Amino acid sequence: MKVSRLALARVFFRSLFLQAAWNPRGMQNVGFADAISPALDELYQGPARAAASTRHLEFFNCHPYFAAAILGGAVRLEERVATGEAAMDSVSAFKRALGPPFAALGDGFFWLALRPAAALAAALTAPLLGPGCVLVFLGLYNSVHLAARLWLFSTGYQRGEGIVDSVGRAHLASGTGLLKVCGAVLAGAIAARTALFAGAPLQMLLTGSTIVVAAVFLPRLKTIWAVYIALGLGLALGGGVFQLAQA
Amino acid sequence: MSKTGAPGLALVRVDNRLVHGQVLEAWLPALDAQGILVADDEAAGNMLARSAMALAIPPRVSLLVLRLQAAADLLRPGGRGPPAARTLLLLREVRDAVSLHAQGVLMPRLNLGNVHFAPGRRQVSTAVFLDPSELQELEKLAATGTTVEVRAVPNETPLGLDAIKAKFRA
Repeated sequence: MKVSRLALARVFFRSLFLQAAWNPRGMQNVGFADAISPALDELYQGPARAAASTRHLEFFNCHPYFAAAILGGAVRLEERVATGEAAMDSVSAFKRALGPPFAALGDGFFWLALRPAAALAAALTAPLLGPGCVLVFLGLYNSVHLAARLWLFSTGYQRGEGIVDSVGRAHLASGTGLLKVCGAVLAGAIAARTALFAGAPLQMLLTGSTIVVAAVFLPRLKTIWAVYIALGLGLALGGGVFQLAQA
Repeated sequence: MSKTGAPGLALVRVDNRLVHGQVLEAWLPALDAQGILVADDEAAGNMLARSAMALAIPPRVSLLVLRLQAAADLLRPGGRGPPAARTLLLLREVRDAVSLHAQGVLMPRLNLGNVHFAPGRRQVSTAVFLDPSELQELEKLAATGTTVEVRAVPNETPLGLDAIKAKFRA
């Protein structure tokens, strides 16, 4: 039994609101049950339909974007449960197995790497675009974010349990590292430029002391050396840009 | 963070979600841990769960997923010990920690990170819900010298057993 393309599109659309009913007891459970319901509508009737929704109201939590992969996989599994090919609890086991590790991958990539890098890249355009740099951030961040969400959802649906393999081959970890280094270069460049361009001595003092404080506290966060080197490079680049402008 | 239990154990943590963001992004660096040992029957028996965990863990950190009994054999005095010099031990339920302790695994400190709601459980912090028997077991552990704390991430103020009891009764 296959779910229609329209139902899949509706499930994906609803997945954008996964956290709308976040709560400490079930976390994203209501959002998940709501998102998958267009698919359940096609697969089950009567009491079985109600029972399916109840199953999906169990505890669930993941990174909101990576959850799309689990949602896609869950729709695929539900198709098999509906025909009796798979056991009913296989869907729960699938969600429980992938939720936390995928949450970690999403936290690392989106929250700690892509978001700061996109924000810093946008901040760099501030002298040119003014408040328009906000649009640069929204464009940069969301083009990656929405594309990733769509890919995760469709791959999850097409490959079911094979999603782990597909995500593994996406080499997310190296992307995360690269984005963090880019973020550090950008942060250094912006910091150096701000310090050098700032007119009032108070501003320069503030920026200077912020850099010193960061240098003192970063080791406590056990940041990797590549990030320090990148930050230093950014500082040098930022300073260099200023000298070129003077010449 | 220097109080160690069984040699090589950096922290024993009860977390229903086992390997997730809080553990990898906050606890691993704070503890300077080189290995993660997941002691859980369900995870050990689920290939998909094991491969997803392996995918999420940083390459420098070793991962071992064992059934609870196998972990007890490894960690109790006279066992081969944990895989890495500083290992973070993750357990799914309070009863798993009680069982390891009863089998002789040294546990000077027990961290409760995420214990989800279930019928009969009452909320003691944002992410920890306990039932009366679990609270009783924790009191017994504390009586033998284990420091019990509720703390999701390292930079949060830990909630001690007295505070947990007060929240439970509230």
